[in-house]
Amino acid sequence: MRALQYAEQTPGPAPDPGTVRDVYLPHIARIRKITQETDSSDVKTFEVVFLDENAWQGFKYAPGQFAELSVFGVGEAPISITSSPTQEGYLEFSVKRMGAVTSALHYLEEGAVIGVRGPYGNTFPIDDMRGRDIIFIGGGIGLAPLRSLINYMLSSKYRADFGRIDIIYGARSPGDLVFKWELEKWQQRRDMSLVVTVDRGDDTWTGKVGFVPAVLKEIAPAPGGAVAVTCGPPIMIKFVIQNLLELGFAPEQIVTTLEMRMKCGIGKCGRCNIGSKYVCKDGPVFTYAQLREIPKEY
Amino acid sequence: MHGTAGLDRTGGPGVAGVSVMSKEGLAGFLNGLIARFRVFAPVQEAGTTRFAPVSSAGEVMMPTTVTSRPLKELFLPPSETLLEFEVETSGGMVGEVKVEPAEPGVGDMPRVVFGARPCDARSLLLLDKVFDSTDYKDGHYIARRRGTAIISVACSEPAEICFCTSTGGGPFDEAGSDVILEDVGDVYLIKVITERGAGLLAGLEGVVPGFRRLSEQAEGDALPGQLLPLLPEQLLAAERNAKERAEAVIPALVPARGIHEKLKGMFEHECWGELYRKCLGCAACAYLCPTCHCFDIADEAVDNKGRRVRCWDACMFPMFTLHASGHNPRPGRKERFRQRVMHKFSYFMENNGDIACVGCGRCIENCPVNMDIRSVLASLDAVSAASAGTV
Amino acid sequence: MSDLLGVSGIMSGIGGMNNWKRDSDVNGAAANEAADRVAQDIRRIARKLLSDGEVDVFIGYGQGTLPSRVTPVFITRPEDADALIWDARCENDLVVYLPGIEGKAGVVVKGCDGRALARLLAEKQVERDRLKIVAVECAGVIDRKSVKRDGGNRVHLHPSCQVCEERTAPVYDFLAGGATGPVVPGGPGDKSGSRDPFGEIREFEARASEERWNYFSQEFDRCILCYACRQACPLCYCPECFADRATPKWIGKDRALSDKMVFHLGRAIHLAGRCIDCGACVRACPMGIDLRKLTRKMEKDARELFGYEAGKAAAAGALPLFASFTREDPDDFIL
Repeated sequence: MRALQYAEQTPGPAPDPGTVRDVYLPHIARIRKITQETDSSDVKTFEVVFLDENAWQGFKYAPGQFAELSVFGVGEAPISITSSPTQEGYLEFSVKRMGAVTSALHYLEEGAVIGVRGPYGNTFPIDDMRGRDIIFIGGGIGLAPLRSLINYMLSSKYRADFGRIDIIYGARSPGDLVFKWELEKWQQRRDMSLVVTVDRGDDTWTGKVGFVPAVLKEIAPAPGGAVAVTCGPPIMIKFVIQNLLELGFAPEQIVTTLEMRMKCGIGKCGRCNIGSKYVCKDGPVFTYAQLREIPKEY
Repeated sequence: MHGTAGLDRTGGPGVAGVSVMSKEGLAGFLNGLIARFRVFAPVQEAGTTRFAPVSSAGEVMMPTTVTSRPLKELFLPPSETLLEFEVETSGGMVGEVKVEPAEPGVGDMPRVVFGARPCDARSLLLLDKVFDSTDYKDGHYIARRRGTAIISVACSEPAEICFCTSTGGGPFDEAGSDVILEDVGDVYLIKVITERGAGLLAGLEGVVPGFRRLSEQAEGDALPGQLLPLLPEQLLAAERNAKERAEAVIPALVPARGIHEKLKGMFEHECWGELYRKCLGCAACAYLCPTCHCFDIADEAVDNKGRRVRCWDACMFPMFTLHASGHNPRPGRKERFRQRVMHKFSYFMENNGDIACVGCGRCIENCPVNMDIRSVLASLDAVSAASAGTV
Repeated sequence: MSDLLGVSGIMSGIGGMNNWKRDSDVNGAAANEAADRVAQDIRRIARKLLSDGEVDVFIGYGQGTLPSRVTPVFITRPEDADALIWDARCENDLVVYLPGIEGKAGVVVKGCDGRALARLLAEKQVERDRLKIVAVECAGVIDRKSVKRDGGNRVHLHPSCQVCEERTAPVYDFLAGGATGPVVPGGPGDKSGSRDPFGEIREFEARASEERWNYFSQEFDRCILCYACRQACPLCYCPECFADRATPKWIGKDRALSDKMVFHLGRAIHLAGRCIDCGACVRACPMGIDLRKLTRKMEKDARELFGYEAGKAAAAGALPLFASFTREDPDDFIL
């Protein structure tokens, strides 16, 4: 009889087996709706619902966080949550087809089942943003994480908590713009402004043409007490930050969200660190003031 | 965490927790453990050594140095199943998925490790900081950890690669062990460090010949193989001697513990460009390191059934950080070498209050190009001192 | 042969790092003298190449941190050339550092390393006019692992050295120390025919297939997939190894024996007709896996079936075996 005679004598509280075993266990979710975002269909938005009602109760997230999505048999990939927590009952993920998992996701059809593990990471500093003007600067699929915060702020529940909301969004071409139906909705709102730009127009494009950082400079939002939130390709982020600083924004007023190769999502597997910070746990949201303090290894 | 059993004889748990055993008693001691528990001990495997289940004392290779493979693999195996799944498809559509979490080695527990070295035992305390942290608990690791008792063997003859005294440990260090066995000459002293350790030994007294409590060791009452009958005081003095002798063998202190302060400003230092150059970019150092714990998670599936596995991975490989876009934040060997050193001696300290190194020397022994972490640290130390001098 | 060079007490004490040489044996004194002459010449050549600007970096051997070890050094200033050493511990194949190196480089090569370099030149991985090759007439390197297993009491030549047939590089600019003396029977460069270089392979081939399979299973089961063999190999220079590919995935993440087999068999096939038996892979392997069983078999088949000897003078500059074809190639193994 090899009873657990010494294990029971272990000092310290025993972990709750229910919680400890489940760190890597995803919730099962069904894809309810798939939206083709781009003309080349390299970006799709997946609307998913948990099969287990209780899963939704346990999945409390805030804008800026991400989840590990599973295609069983292929693997997991970290994807930012693009829906706002003010939208009850379902989650949205916008996924660009890049690697094995994202390609497998793109093969799935409505009704298919995936795994969702999370939410992980920190959130946009919403409390610090209350009462202030917010400028969003997004590029390409980089609008996805921003969209969660935008819709949170635009929700009837929270709109009054924030000042002006201005959005500058751009993509390489008109066909690469994501969330087009929502951009139109935002365009019509009176309590915010939206400028959409493309690097190169086409025959049908009547809007603005120009790189996002240049458009930012042209619009030249006043720093005041505003907060600038940016996400997009690394090169865009670099010049946006540079231009924001030139416009007089302090490093603390600039917020961005980073991408890294991730596996565990909980700061253990060791690959997403920048210096001593784990992007999956201490990030993905950082202020430029924080980024200046860590190595340029991203 | 670990007892610092006072070894004076003024009573208390010190002497009460110490037993004495003749050298011939070892086989009986091991067999006594094996009869009661699933025992893992160092075994030979074609010129290498590792911890493996043993069914008799004869299989155990009483270690003279650290095992080739680290103790960590009993807690963080090279590959393990996190969950199993079965996908039901109809008409090419993924319909339902059944997911079952894996029961991490529950059948193997409880188990006893015999023959860990103090550095190995200490490494587990460092791994605990990652996998049994306050924010996320890794059930797979914790189940194995809680179900395993550690009996260490103190290092009477440290090897040329050892530098545990520079990393906060020592050849007779008790941290992380439940019981420690010390060779003090003709006999072993066996010290109980934890309650769990006491439970392990409880069934052996009176069963194993030549094994008795130190408090029962009286003058004129020598154990088999013991040249002179020794009083407890004398045995404890012999222990102190053995410990001091062992510590003296380990060469001068390596600047391992204080270096995190110096490393803080050295990320961009040009010295990395020199230090990394001979590194071949393999993971012999990381995989054999008892504290390196980076891992990968991937699915292995055949048809509609599969498993999600976690396996060892290492920061020395380019794939480790390669984005799907092709961008790599650590594109070269220099960046990857720097990451490994910085993680162990700077970032880990910042996040967990200790360095991720126990001075076991496996990386030194196994590096194909003799990249010696002691020299690397000494160089970094010297460079930082030089930079400080010029400022 | 393997017991030729006896030494004692060499494995103890980190302070004894300078004493790990051949001594107290019949050839010891002469061998040490020859090695010292080579070392002096390497230093002289390196110093000159660096001060004349002929090379930007000189890659050689320096003192290691353990009695049994030397370490690769990258010398960029003439005054640092004094750190260069040469003796029977200089086991590393420094040619591994050459692909992708910037600027002009000098490198010390033994016979095997020189054959690897000949292959890299033929496979256009390095440019001849950016290299200064400093050859040494090699008397074999010590197999530190077997020395350690014997408790430091005997010196064994590395298994590759025991079957080495050409102790000097096929291509070089300098021969450091000149000729160092006659070939030791059974040592590197012995082509007398007094031994069968593939005797061990022939013996292995003669075993039952199940026995061979079991042997390989046992060996490769120990593999921890650290890829030290691949990284130490001068001819494993693929920018992306098949073993690292995610799409398609060749090596499973559950590290089953079959995954390890796929890696090692795949690697051996990739090295067929290219491996020059420097032994860097086995020396690098922390698990002591008998990797040469596969690569020597490939070497033997390349020689016996196609008359092809990778990296040797006659084949230096030739296309890789798998990239060349003649009407005379045997095809009797094709059904």
